[in-house]
Amino acid sequence: MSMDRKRFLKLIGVSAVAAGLPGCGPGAGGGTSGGSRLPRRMREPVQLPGAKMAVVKGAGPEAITRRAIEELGGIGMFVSKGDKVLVKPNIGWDRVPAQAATTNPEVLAAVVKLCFEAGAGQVLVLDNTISDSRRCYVRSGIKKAAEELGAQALYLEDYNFRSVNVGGELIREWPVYKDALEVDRIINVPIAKHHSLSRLSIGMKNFYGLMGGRRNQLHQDVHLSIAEMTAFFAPTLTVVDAVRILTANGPSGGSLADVKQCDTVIASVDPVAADARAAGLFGIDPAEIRYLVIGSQMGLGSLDPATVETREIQL
Amino acid sequence: MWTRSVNYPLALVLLVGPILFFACGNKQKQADSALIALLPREQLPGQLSAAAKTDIYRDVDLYKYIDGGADLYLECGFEEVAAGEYTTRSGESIFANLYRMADPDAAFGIFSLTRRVDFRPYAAGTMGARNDYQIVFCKGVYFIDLQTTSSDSAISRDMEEICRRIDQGIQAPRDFPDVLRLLPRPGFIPHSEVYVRGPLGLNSRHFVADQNIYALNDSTPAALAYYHLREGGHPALIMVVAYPDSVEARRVFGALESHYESKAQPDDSASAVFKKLPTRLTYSSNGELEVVIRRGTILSTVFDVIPLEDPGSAPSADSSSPGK
Repeated sequence: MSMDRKRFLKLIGVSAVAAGLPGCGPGAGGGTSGGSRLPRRMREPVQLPGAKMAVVKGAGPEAITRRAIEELGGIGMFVSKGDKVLVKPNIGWDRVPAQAATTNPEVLAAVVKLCFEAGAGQVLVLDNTISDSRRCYVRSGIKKAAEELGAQALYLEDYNFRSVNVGGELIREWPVYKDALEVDRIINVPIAKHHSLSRLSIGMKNFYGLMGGRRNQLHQDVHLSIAEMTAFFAPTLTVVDAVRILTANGPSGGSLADVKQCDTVIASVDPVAADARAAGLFGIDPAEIRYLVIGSQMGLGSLDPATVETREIQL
Repeated sequence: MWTRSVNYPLALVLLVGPILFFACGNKQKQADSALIALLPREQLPGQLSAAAKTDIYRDVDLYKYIDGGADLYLECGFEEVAAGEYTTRSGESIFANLYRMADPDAAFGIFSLTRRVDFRPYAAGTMGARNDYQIVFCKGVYFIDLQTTSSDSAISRDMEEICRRIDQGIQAPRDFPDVLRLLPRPGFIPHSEVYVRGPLGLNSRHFVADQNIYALNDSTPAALAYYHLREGGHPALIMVVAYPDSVEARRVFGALESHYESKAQPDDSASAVFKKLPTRLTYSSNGELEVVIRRGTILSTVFDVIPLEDPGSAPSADSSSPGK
């Protein structure tokens, strides 16, 4: 009878896998749709007098990004002088920008530039990557784009994760990157892409990149985990990079055949609406995306982007 | 120090355990070699150089390589991957992923899910496909995925040569999952057939629900393919599942009935219509139509919906039968 090492260890009674999921509540795996226990939020949402979402389409990632934020009242609505700002892109994969698995460096650069124009004291750019960090940061173009403007592109170190009380139904406590806890503002700058488990990976899913631990353990209720971490991090602003979107084989992608040019940026103070609007670029009804439904039920934002006051601009 | 009162069971474990432990470890190393050995390293074409190290990922460690993409592979029956890389003189990379799946059907499954509608047929393995940047094929328990970011014709030729050598190194009969034979022939769009073992695979072609309503698994897989059902219309997706018995088929049919009933609940738009008969369910909404038909142990579903991609634009192939 053939046997591998794992089966042998089990046979002699050595447990190689911990029973249960540390840090998760009894609702784990139950497929709950937003239980009664809501995560604590790091900051209150920004109240805007006018439009809550801007969708700008046109050539030139920097131009459409700037215009999208301008339509919401300008960067001054989100960043104050002296603020320490985390600009959170998706740098998860060892990919070049054309493959649309990581945030477009020009979109990121536009946001970083605006933060400094608003007087930000410090701008951090980071992500807990899947592939080797150094390759991801460099090949995505994000390290260069960030550092040329004076932002700090930080590689994450294991010892800088802190276990925090998230307080959710699924995620009670989880290791989170320390720097993400010590900033005044979080501006979420995800790329819009297909995801084989959650269907889409846009802004709300992007917060997985601030988490440590064995994140795949959360896949048994990935939708609730996405909503809970969005509630916890409570982004100041979401700027969705849809200049190119990854339509299939996400999250890692790789094939240029899966990339669709959309030349669009979506900016919103409503993280659910931003994702819901971006879902439309994939021809997906937001009501079919369970993390959006849960996020809406949690009060994080609007599932129907049509109900959100929006500026639609074609440059 | 030995005493008269020796705990013999414990002694046996302590004595034999390490021997068996390292023996199993050696067996794993041999398995490493078997997979890595399939990636060519000598006399490479076009002055390619192979990366010094090939990473191996097994079971749930696949998450460390492709993160959320791992769930689909694990659903299909993933066991191990060797992730290799070749570099050209100009610094371009060819990424070569050699997956070992649980069985040949699993390998065909992940191949069929990875193949996109714009891929053209490629003569490799049991079945192959490619576009300008990627070549994928399956053979035996293996799924091979080569990718480059360059459409340079020289790099493309190098990629083909790597592919040919890997293909030559694998000895396996040409075989297709049995369930593909249930797919009808008339109107079949060549090279659109897909084999799935769970909801992630199904949802990658057409989203039904997060739950596994069709009760798909390793022993109850589904076959899907695109069809031209009418002149000038968009292609429809047909799915066929053969259940172990009619009781299970009836149970799943009942679950689908509940699913469509709740989908069609009246709301402000009130555009959804659901009709049910003892062996047929029909759901329509916004011009799209889904029909489920139960015959004995088999459930057939037609998703007459507007696809995100147009499989009708796929290049024609030599054969018009599914799984050939």
